[in-house]
Amino acid sequence: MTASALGVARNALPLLALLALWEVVVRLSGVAPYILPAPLQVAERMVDSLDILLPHALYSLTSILTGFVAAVVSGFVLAVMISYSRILQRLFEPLIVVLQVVPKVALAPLFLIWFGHGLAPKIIIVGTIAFFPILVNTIVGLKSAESDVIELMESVAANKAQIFWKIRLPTALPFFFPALKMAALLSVIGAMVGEFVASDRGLGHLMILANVNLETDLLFAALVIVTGIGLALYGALGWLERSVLLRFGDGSSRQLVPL
Amino acid sequence: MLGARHSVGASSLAFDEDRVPGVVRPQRLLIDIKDAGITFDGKGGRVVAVEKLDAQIRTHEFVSIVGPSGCGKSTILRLIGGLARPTAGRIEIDGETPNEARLARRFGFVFQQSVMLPWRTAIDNVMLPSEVMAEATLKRRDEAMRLLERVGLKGYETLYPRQLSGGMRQRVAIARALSFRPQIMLMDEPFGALDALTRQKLHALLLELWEADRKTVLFVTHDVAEAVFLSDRVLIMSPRPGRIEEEVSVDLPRPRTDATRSLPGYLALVDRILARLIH
Repeated sequence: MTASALGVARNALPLLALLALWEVVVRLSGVAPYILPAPLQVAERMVDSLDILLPHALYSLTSILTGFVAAVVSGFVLAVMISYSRILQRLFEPLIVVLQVVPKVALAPLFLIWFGHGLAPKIIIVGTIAFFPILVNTIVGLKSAESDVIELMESVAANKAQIFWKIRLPTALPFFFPALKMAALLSVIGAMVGEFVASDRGLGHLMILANVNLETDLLFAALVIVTGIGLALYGALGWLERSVLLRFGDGSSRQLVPL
Repeated sequence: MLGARHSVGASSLAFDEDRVPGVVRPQRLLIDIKDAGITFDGKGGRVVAVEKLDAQIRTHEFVSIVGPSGCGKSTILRLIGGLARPTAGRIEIDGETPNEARLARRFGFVFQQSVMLPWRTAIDNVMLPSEVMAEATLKRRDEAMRLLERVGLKGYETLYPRQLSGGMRQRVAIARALSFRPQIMLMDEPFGALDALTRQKLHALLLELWEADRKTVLFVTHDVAEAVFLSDRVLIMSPRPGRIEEEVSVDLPRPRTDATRSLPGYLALVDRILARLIH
């Protein structure tokens, strides 16, 4: 067995133990499946209902990814603009503080009134929730370059673009990636909330449906898939972070600015 | 393992070209400071950092500025280097304003902190100014490699700053400042954060580099012994608001070596300047 396979096994072991315990407890206690289905039952249901689960998963994934990408792009661009323009900073800073405090989840019903029942309101909810960690942390990151580094660049007559690409952007990356991972997880939450509130598709919708019909095994199956989507996103971004920071990092990790 | 992959032509460094041993170079006025001053608007009103500053620095001169902490020594370097603008008087660098001279890349700065980009190797940190000037050619890289060898870092070119000691990082910073052949070196307490032994080694290195082409050096320090050992002239500053109180010529023979530190003339000068600073 290779070292990395050993590592995976070590990480999976507690999870497997928990599932085994769960299986045993459900079987021995005889608890009704609509209250708590056993893991094997959930797995069976997942395989049986894959034709139902997959289209819903695809629908959720669409709003998650679209909203996430929109949040990352707009959050990053606005962060660059704000960190370079004092006027924009004065204009946006109070606004950002207020909007950050607004519970974005509570805006979901409003977005549904404004944008109907299609994919658009879900994407907007996802985008709104994922936007702020990107914006705030990127601003902090872009401003974190030490003044003596900037002076060194100015002493050799570097222009603003050079200072941005050679100093500010690489300095911001250790702040940017944790925000990216956080935004990805918030995107999944955003999509579920949007689908809970009003939707005829998506894993969130399916969970509500399964809940009403007391098909708890189907609810768990959907939950497993949502979690899988979140884990996959988080893992992919973690990999991207490690690859980029290997090139641009300084070996230290940054504290995420809390929301 | 790292060092052997670069062969070196001994005297082919560009700033060696005008090296003619034994020839006294004619000096002319290079930095002309007339009645310059700068005030900052702080919370408690205006703060006069530097005032009525008069100084002339000639080409090929090694001049140190000593003074108590907070007397505006660093501010003077920033004024000359075009990183700050004087609010009174004027400063000319060869007929240009400091800002014009900065834009013409006449200044090589070395700061107290080495100011390395942690994600760049030593050689890539040295190449930073060349990249900014869009001159990051292979030839420049070759020169940068040789510069790193000259500052004693052969074999360390591809290490990252965190893998280097404080003294080594400062050597990289010196190589970086020389890499684009500036006319004037502005050094702001470059050895202030180093231990005494490392500092002595770097004094020898700096003088060796300077003897090669006698580039004009303006060196700020609070270490009087360091200033006397390195310089042709020492400018003594008063506490804030900083102004130059006295100018001392250092007529010690060059090249200076560790033996210089035990010369009576050296010790007398150090004592005299220290006494001046204390009173």
